[in-house]
Amino acid sequence: MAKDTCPVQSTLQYLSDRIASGVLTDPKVRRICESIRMLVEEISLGEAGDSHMAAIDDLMAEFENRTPDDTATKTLDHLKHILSDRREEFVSHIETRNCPSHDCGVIAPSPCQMACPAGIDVPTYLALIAEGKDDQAIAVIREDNPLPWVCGLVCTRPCEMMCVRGRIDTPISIKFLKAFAAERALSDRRYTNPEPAPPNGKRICVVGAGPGGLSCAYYLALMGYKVEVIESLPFAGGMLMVGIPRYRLPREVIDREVAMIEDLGVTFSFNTRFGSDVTYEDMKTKGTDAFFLAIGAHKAWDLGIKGETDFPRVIDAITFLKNVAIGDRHAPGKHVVVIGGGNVAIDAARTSLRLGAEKVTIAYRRSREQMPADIEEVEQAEEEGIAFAFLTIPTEITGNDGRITGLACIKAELIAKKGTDRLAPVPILGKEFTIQADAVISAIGQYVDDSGMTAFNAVNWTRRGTIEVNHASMETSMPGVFAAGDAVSGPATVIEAIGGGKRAAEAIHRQLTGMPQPRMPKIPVRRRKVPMIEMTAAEKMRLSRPVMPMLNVDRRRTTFQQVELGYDEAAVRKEARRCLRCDVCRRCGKCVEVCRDKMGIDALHLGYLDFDHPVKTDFRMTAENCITCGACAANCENNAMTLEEKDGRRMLKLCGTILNEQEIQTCDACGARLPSAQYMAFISDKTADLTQKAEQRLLCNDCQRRLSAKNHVPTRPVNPT
Amino acid sequence: MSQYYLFQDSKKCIGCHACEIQCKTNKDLPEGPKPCQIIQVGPKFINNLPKMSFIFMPCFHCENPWCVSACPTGAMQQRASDGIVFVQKDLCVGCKTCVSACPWGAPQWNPDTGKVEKCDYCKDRVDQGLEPACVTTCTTGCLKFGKVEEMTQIRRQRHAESVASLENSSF
Amino acid sequence: MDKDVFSLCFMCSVRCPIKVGVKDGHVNWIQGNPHVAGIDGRLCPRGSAGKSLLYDDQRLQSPLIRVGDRGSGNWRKASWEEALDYVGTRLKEIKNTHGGHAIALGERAQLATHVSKTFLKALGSPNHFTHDALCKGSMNTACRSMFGYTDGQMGINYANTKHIVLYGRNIFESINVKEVNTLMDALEKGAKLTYIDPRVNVTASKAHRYWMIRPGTDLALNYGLIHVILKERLYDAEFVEKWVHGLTDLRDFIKEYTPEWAETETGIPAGEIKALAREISREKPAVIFHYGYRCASHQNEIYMRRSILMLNALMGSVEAKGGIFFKKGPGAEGGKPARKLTEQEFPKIEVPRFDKVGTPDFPLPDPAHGVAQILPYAILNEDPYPIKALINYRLDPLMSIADTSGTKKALDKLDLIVTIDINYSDIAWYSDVILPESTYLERTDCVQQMNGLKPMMFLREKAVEPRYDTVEGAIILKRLGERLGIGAYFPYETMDELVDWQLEGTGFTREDFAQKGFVSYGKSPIFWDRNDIPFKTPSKKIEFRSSLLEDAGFPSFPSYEPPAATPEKKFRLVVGRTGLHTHISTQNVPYLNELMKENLLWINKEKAADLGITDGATVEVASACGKGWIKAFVTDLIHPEAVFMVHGFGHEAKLAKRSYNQGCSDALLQENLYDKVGGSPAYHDTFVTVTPV
Repeated sequence: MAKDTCPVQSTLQYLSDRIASGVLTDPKVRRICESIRMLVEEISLGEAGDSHMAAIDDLMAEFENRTPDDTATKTLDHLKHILSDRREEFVSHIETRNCPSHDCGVIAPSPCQMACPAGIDVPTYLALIAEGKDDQAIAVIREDNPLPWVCGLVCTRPCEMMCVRGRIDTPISIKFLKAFAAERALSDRRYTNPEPAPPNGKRICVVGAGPGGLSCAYYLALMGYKVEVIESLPFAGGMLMVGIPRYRLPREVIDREVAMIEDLGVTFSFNTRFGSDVTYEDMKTKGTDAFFLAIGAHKAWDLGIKGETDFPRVIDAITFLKNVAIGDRHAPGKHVVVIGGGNVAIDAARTSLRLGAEKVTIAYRRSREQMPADIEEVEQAEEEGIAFAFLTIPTEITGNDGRITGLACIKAELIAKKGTDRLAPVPILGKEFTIQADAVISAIGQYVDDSGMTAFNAVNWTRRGTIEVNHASMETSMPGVFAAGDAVSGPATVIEAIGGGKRAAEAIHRQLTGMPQPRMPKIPVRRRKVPMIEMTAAEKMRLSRPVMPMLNVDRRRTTFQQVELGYDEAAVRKEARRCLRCDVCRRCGKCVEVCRDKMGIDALHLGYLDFDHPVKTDFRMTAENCITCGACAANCENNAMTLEEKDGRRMLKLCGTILNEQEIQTCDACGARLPSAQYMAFISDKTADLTQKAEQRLLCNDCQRRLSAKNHVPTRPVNPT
Repeated sequence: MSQYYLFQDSKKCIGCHACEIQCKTNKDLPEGPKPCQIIQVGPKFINNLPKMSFIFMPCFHCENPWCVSACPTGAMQQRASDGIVFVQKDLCVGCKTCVSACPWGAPQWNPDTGKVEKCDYCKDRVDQGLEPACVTTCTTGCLKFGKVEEMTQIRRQRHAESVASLENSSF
Repeated sequence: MDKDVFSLCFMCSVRCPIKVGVKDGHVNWIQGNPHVAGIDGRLCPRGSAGKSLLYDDQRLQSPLIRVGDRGSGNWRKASWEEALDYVGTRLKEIKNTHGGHAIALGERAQLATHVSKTFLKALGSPNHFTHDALCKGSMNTACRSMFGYTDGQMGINYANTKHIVLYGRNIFESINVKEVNTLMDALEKGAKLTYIDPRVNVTASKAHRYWMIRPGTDLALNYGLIHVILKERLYDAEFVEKWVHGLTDLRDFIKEYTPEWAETETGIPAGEIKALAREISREKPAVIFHYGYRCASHQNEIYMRRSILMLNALMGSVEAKGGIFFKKGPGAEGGKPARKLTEQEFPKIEVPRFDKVGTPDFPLPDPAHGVAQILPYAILNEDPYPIKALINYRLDPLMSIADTSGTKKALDKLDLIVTIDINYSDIAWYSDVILPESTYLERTDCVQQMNGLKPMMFLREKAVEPRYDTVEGAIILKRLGERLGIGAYFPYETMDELVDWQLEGTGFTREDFAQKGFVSYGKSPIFWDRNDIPFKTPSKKIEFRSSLLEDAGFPSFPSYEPPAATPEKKFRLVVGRTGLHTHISTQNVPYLNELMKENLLWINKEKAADLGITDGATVEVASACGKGWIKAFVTDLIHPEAVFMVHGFGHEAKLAKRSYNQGCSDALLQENLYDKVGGSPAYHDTFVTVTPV
């Protein structure tokens, strides 16, 4: 069996086949297999509880004692094998109610949740926000991410990349909704910590108070650990504080969320360098049970061009941003060139502008499309008047007397190179030019500063200079020492660091409680399954992603005020209602297929479900042809499509969106509910040549039987009238 | 039209529902669907005697079945060889149009599978030369199955017998 | 892999012969045995639901030992070794402390009854009892008092009858396939059916004459009929002259019981009573006054049953074609019956039975069955001695003996309650240990001796291996016996060995059953010469004047005492059966439960209107000993003095989820009253109030 198929689903299939084929001729064996099948099915449906594996084990023990024939023995061996080899996945199906391979459709996580490095249950919190339950939404988020407000402002939002609504119009504005909920919940005093477990007497030392360290500290504290965070900077936040400028992430946002973590009893030692101010031995002596290294990647790479070391106004972006964060308010120069194309380059450029630089230029080797920076960041930079020099390769920083005069560059063209998809910039000979500059900021990347880590002598480092870990457990090669964040991944995102910190917290807990470590990285956990929000198809279609109100450009050029002003409440609630609830609808397309190919009605125009039959998605069009027969609902394995009867109406709903609504009729005899007139007309059309419809009584199935029984004629019935 | 006819001698029927149960047993059906059903009419007093009838309601396998015409997927079919109307399960999508189309209430909803169940005269048994399950085990033998022409003969005979039997008979 | 197995159904106690289709080790088809006349492949609804019982996951699956309070439903699974050791140890303690007679075993008589009787005899306990007395004890006594034969030795020749009278004997709903069909055939041939019942049912709807009799007055009706028959000399003078002992006594006794008198008692017009007497006498002797099946309604039951038997005797329909007859055993064909374990030598038992049957206190009931409803009194009063352990084998005292609360109180005094069953019956739920038996489709059983006009033997043959951790009852008792030092009485290891042992000396072997599922001793039906009927009474006659009764100090002809008047605003509670369920045992069987989930309280339309009860409304029914809730069925099909419910609903065992708490239990309401002469309970002598909820 291939490793990537889900063992739960394949066991279910295996047992179903065995039972159906009749090869299990011993009744006890068959019953045991039927019972195991039932339990496995419940696991695959997310309905299993704590006792399911034990119940399966009991049945297996009974099976061991009863192998009357070869087939039974083979079946037993097969089950034994898969239940021991892949046990972890069975358990994780039960614990997380998720199937990472998507084979168990009902519990496969939504694409947005799968895309999130911290695995946040996005559809759930969106639905809660839609209903104004911001505090509950925050609680759901914080099960996977202790910093929702921070992430709501600065996350790179891989979730939105995967958002299915994007296939219809635009992705849900997932990121900001989180920030809104956090702010509202805090303002309402309803942003609270969960009740932590009682202290367990174990101590953990976290090195680094960046997002990775904070995340790890938070989850450990909740599990009852005494957590001590060592931080060389004078405040918590790490790169959040010193890497991201205040106009994107105000300091109070970080402080408020850090305070929540402190409330759990986590202690912080600021201005304290690990390795000198406090040592491994110190911590060990104190009785520290495990270490978590989240030291980030704070050292900038050199440009490696001439003149780099000759001028004081050549500075790396990380140092620059850190200095600004600490309070330096001097402009780096009048004419600033920033080299690089990532978010850090944009941040450095926009910060320079706000400090009074007259002209700021970003020099980047590739084209605009290839910039790793967020498109919104680039756009905002452009609005603010930042200049961009694309396809520009710096060759030398020129100047005299220690003063920079310009940056010599050469124009590049993009050439496809063997062995890579990414076009490579190649200098065009003869196209040299100079950009006028009195300051040059390099923003071409960072690496991990390993000074102070010498005590962790058994930790392996990668060739890229990052800490090597087992990615399932975030444990280093040194027992009891874990690591995550940029120190492991190299410079990456806040949300990745948060996810890593959370995984490490769990791994530390497993190690200290003697549980075996997982063999593969944990998959996202479905936190709740909240009810659908009912709305009309027209509303679902009409809603569109709101435009983010921005601070006016003049202020943006002159102050560090927050640029994105945020949606108002009405916009937030509406935006959350746009969610398609992909945690429930698996986009299998069966409904469309049944309606179009089997029923021949073709009422469902849900192009987003199916790339193979590209039709436009329009929920409103369902009503034109739909007869509310419910075949789509009957074939929906996840109950995403439902047929409901309420107040004399029959409603077809897809994840709460009312696709069609028709009046139901009632049985003339008993009042039982019957299908709609449209449905009956569909049938009459098909049976038109059999009967001239003399006004027939409308009867339900049971009454029809009863009436025909009463009128039963001694001859074979030919016409019902 | 089906070549077969399922005749119920209602005078001998005691309404015991064995036919319904045997049918469900044979088809392994869950709670709910009843491909055949006994409908009780009465009792009411006629000449001071309480009278009740039990009417056996299977599918009548019409000559031009509404259900077959109504079925959009082709799941509901009529066998060309003998006219038996049956559901081919893998084609059924659960739209229930056959349920609504049938004037006799013959197609039945199976909530477990989301598909329709229906009396098919146990065609698998018929093809083996056996009778439908309900007929084979009917408690009083009041159900008879055969070719249409044989059944009319039985019906005539039963009628003659009942006329000939004593006055005041409940039979 | 596919095979057909001939066996015996056990969805009810009739044990109809069946043919079971097995595919891939699983039952996929059950039908009546096509080789048996009157069965011809047919099967009743309960039999048809056999597969849904076999594959029901709510039945008992492994031995269970109670861990919580009695009735709390807290069990732990145990291995057979552990469960049997547990029961064995406890029984041994009880036997050593209190004597073997402190152990009682009750069962619904079945093929392995000789095994359980052996178990008790070997332990030195006389306290084996069956459900028979609960069903028809007084009829058994009545038959012995008249003919010297038990009811079990008598049969009814429906096939040739010309007129049959049924007193609440609901043949078409308490279905015995062969009986239904032979009666149906007779009706087809022109036989008349007279049906008497305070309630209309399917059998009533097939009748030529239906009388909605006032409940409890059947005896008065019969006296009226006898009066007419004697007065108008409608009886079979020749037969009566030859065989009846005590006709003159009857003639003297019956004088005052005129049809006009009977009319005032029963509500049936005197003219109609006379008409029936005259009409039926024209067809004698091929007529049947059906002596009944469940004969446990009133405290004077034995006299009511005797009056029916007298009517048959007066019609000369005893040992007559189309009348009633005495069953012929293998001996009638020079054959030998299958052996029973009870033929072994046992230690002599000196103590009386718990019910004192066979002593001057309770002389007449049949000690082969005992009187079950005495059990709660015996336990509570420790009279005649303490009972400490009860083994329930397919018999549920809680739902079968009237007054469930009283029975529970008695059970609470016991040190040990063990149940052998296939389902979570209420008594299983109230037990200390449950020993699950394999279903009839999963076990070979003891030989069925079928006496009748044509003596035969049938075999229940295992169709499939057990699906759960269950064992055959006869093996359970043997293995329990081994732990109690009486293993030697069970000379077999498997059911196959036991059957072979039983067949020794009969001239038949196991293989002889393979073809058709049965063996016949002879070829044609045997009727005795009517001039030479071997009645087993002291007078060798049909004893209208009964020496059995009179020797025990009871009159043969006690004056008629009317049933207690129905108190104002109360109803006489009448119970009965349905074709869809067997007593208390099938309510949780999936297919049967689907068709009938709960029982209803039938109540007369006018009375219901007075009480403000509408059809389908939930009502509270209350008696002197209990109350319950049930939905009302408001109808003009029941006598105004009676309310009716089908027996066996209102289960308390929670793990039988479909039937749990569905409908109302009649036993909860009924008072534990009984016929102190004949031995049957008086299930219809309880009055209830009905109140809308």
